Amino acid sequence: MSSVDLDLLTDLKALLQDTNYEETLEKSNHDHICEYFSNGSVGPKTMEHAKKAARTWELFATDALSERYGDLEDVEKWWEKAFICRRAAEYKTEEADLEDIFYFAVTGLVNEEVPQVRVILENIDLPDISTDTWDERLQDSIMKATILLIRKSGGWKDISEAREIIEQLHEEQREHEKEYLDGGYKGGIPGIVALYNITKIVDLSIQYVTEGSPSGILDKIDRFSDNASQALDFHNETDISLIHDMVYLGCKNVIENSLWFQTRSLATGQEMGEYIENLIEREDSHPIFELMPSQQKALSQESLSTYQRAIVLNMPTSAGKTMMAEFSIVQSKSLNEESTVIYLVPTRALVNQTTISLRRKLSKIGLNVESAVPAFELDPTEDEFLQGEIDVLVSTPEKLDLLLKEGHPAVSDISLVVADEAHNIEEGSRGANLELLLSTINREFDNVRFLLLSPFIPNSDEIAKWLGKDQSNSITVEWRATDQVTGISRVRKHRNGPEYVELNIVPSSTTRHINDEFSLELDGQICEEGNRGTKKKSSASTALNLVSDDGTVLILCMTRKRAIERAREIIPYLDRIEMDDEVKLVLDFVKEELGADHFLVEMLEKGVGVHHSGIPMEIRCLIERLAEQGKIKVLTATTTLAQGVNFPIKHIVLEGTYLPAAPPQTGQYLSHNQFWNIAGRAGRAFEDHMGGILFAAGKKSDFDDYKGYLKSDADKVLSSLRTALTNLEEIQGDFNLNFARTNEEFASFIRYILHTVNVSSYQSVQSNLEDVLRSSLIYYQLEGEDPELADKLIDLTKSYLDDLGVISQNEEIIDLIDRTGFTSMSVEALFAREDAKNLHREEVWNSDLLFDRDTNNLTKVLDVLKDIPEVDLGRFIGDDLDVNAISGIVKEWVNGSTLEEISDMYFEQISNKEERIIKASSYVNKNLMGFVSWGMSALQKVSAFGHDELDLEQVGHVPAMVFYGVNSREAAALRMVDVPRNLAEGLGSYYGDNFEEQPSFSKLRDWLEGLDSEVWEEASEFENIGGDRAQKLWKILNGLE
Amino acid sequence: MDELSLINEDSEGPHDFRVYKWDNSEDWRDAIVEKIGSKVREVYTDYKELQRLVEMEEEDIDFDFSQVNECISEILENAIPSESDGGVVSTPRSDFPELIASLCLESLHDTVIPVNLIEKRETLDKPGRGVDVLGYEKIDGEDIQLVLGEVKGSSEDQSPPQVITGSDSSMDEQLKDLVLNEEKIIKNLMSIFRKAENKEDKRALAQLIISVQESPRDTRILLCPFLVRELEKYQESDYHPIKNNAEDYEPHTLRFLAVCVDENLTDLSVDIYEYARDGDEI
Repeated sequence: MSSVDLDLLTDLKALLQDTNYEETLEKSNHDHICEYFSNGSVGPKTMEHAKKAARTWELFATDALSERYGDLEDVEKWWEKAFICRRAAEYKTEEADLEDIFYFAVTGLVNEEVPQVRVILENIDLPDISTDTWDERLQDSIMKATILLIRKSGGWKDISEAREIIEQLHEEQREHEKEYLDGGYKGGIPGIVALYNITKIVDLSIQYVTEGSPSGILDKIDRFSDNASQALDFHNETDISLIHDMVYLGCKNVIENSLWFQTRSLATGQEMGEYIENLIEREDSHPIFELMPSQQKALSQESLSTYQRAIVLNMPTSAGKTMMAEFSIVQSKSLNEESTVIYLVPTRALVNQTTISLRRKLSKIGLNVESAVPAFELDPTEDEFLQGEIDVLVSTPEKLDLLLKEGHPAVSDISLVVADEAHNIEEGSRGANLELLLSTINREFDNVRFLLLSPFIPNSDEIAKWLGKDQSNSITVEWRATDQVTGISRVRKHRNGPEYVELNIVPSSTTRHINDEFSLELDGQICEEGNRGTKKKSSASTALNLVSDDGTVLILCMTRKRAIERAREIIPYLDRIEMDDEVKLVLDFVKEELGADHFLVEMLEKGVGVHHSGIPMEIRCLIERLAEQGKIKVLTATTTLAQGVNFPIKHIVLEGTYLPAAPPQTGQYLSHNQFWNIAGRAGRAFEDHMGGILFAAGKKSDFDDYKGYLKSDADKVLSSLRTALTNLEEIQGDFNLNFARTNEEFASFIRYILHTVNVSSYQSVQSNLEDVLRSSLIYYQLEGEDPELADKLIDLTKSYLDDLGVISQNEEIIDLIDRTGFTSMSVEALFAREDAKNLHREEVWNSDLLFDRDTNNLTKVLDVLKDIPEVDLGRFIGDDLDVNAISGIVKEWVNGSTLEEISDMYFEQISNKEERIIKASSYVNKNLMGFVSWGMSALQKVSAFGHDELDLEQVGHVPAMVFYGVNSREAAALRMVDVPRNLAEGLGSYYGDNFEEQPSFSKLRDWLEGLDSEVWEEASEFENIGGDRAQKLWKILNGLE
Repeated sequence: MDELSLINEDSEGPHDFRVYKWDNSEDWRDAIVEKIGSKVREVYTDYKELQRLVEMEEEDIDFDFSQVNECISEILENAIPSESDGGVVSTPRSDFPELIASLCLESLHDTVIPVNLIEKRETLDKPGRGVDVLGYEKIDGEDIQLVLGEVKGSSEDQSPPQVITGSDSSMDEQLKDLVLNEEKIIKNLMSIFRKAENKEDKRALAQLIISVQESPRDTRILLCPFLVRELEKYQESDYHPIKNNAEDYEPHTLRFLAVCVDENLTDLSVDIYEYARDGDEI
């Protein structure tokens, strides 16, 4: 509209400034937060004001958009404000009005808040369509169909209903239209013609969202919108005119957000086409009709560009990173069918979770997703299974490193490496492992591409350039699926009245339209335990106030002990949950594994879970699953949860910021990155529209510390090696075991250098040292920022190369060291030990003898390993390292003893039974599974060096037995596909005869799926879990159910 | 407007009541006939457009347009009666008084009417959900007041005529409904805001939207009941029902305007439709 000056927007802004709309916005948002967290409500007056303010913003925004004047940013702000007001008005509205709901839905859609809108709409009973006059019926039908098209609830249910509404209009047109026209409404004909055109816009949008056709959809809806405008142009029917504006905007957004529209240019290959079609299939209970704004932004910023060697994608939790990775995987496979995609996750728990999730989607298009067992050794069975055709391999960095060093065929042709939670690159020795692994792949694979995923890497550009140089792209999307409300809670008391939880809402980088702090009173239960003014009481009481039937409240505790205490304090206040078959199965499994009187039993019955390293891995997985299904109301956990799992929660209550550690380690404060990594999980997409991040304070003095965290931003991600290098004093003397022990990060670095020597040559590394180093993030960052420290790194590397001495010229030794995953110092130490010289004899490693309770072979093996820095055998009782006891634990574990039994045998000094079991479980999980199996595997390789009589094919499965706690090769193989210990031995015997016929993980899974329940029954060592339920348990653990 | 001469002026507190006589000179009559006749033609043209639109769309819109088409044809036939019908329209068309009202407000009071609703309003017998005339006036240079017109034409003998009082659709009830129905005012303002084509009008309308929403009672709203009347049937009592109940409309101010025509309104409309029918381009 040429006659409208561009400065009209300025005038409108000035007019708005003189209104009290901003106050209305803040007040309604404030009241809405009170309503959400307590039993407050948005009063009728505020609601009325909010709706008025909203429609003014909507009107101005619509006008500015359609007449193309003004600054898009201002218009976006109007939409956002309108949405906040509409949300406050519609959430828990008692008198649902179709028109109001319609405006809320469209405003939310335009404001890129689809997940929130869908969640809120889910809880609104949509009013019936008017039956008064034909024009009103048309208007209501159009609005309701549009709402349903936006809500997309119940799989295809809403979409089908929307379609039925439109079809119904076509059917009843003749009768109702005649009634209308005969009733003296002929003058309304232009309005009716406009409404028919608007109906067509909705109809076409429904068709496009479901089928991806017709082509040229936007032109088509433009045409019908123009027609409606023409009809409305000589018709002063205000309602229709405003509805038309909103329907057009809404449908345009629905179409542009749709999966079909967003992937138009992607669906070039057959796989990609099939993948996209599968996302939206009718049988799926959660079809993906649309991409979230975050995903659209990522795509528009070329997250799938095959030109780029390295892409860093920063997206908050729940914003849809995984699907972006899936697109990338399918694309890579389309371009290079024979290649393998590697999906790296930081923890063992995530390997399983991610494999299940990827397999569920990618297997539909024929891609085989497998995981490399997260043990730091390669079992011969696994080795064989991984030889099969694998399209996507999920692995920890450590295991992938091992596979690369072994030259395993599964990783010989890598086309894409997806590194999830890539910010972990700054986390200690594991961060160093990831960094150096990526460096290695970058050096050794010419055609590989990298996709690094993270919720926050402020310096993502630098990270991308490190791997991709000029062919790199960093994409940061800050869009969140839910609003996050941050605050501090504490228990207070009314004068002469009861205690209550006071929630102080504190503005932070994640909150919106909260300018000032304010407090609200929660009126739920107060935990009697502890005194007012303690974090303990605040934490438990806050959680009790936030508990609902919908979503999990996570209490993040600073120690394992506190996590259990808190759960224990909470359960008296909760009723038993309604238990379905799955909860009952989990409970029975917990009873079998940990004993019927274990604390988790009562807790789970009341919907409370505990999650930390002292809980066995399988039970943790089951608890995570129950939490995802909304069957866990309160989950108490330690910070390991943040790295270990990948599911969001509704609210997070943090008990503090200091993480104590057992001596000799020292405690430390949560870093800002660690805090935001945890906090970012508050609020679940499409489940909640708001998530709380709340610190539980004891005293008022805690507030400053907490506010510091809430107001912080994520810090730049630095190579963990850099901190280590800064702290490293000049190397005195040789590189020895003590150096490796006290400089864990540098042990990884040394292994990296040695590996480079192995794949190129000693001379080559020496003469191209800077090039070699430049592949690492540490050197890449130092080169520009701190040349002096960069020189220190060069000096250190030169010293190490010099120190290698004669070994450097022995390719076989170098190769051996490389394959063990140990430093050269550790391998040299093993060679030097007199008591290691006889370990090449096969009888030493014979599993029957090794794990026989009456032999001491295992003690000898462990004795050799005990001084190796990489192998943390653990000082599990006091400060002494008792090799005999460790040997005993390993034997009991392998021979099928329960954790309860192991704890009674070896942790009897701990008088409290529960603590004993936790200690035993933690020991098995960390030391035994993490290090003993690796140490044994490495030692076998060293022992076999130069001794042909030790056949690793025969004895190589021993470490896997330790890892999985079973005593046969077959049982170990079954454990690799998630069969629980109590079933693995029994099924292993049965499987023994069929072993050769199941040469891959997928075939083994098929075989297990096909077994009769009688076989499961017979194999089961469970007392209370029969055949059918045993198989179901396995399916759950394996992600088949 | 030179053609209007004030024949009665009255007041009740802040409320004004003015009655003008329409100078029935030949020139003026021709001008009015031409002006309104053109509008009728535009309506006709609009409906022709609508008919074309409907014909064009019929195939791909999934609705059956046969009834709509019949109706449009009917409207087109009625809009300009053919010679065979005698060219007589039985009742004065509401377009006519509304156009007069707009012209008078613009010329007598500098009222700004951003979108002429005559062109946009429902053309036949559907009870109006909109406002007959919507405009604004500047007061003291800066402030603005909203002008809402409710327009009626009458050839009745009785005074006050039925269009002024006595039924739900009469002027007094329509005005009361408007005063009480803040929502109706806002929706009309919003619709006009979207249709307005220049910045000044949009700004004023935006200001009024905000004002009515935030505080309708503090918004200056001028209610303009407007009566087009045959001169010989006019009596002072025509506006008394409004005047006697002026407090019903407070806090808003009334500006009653009547224009008396020394001619039969039906005759005038016949001439108008003749003009419309015989126009060059129809």
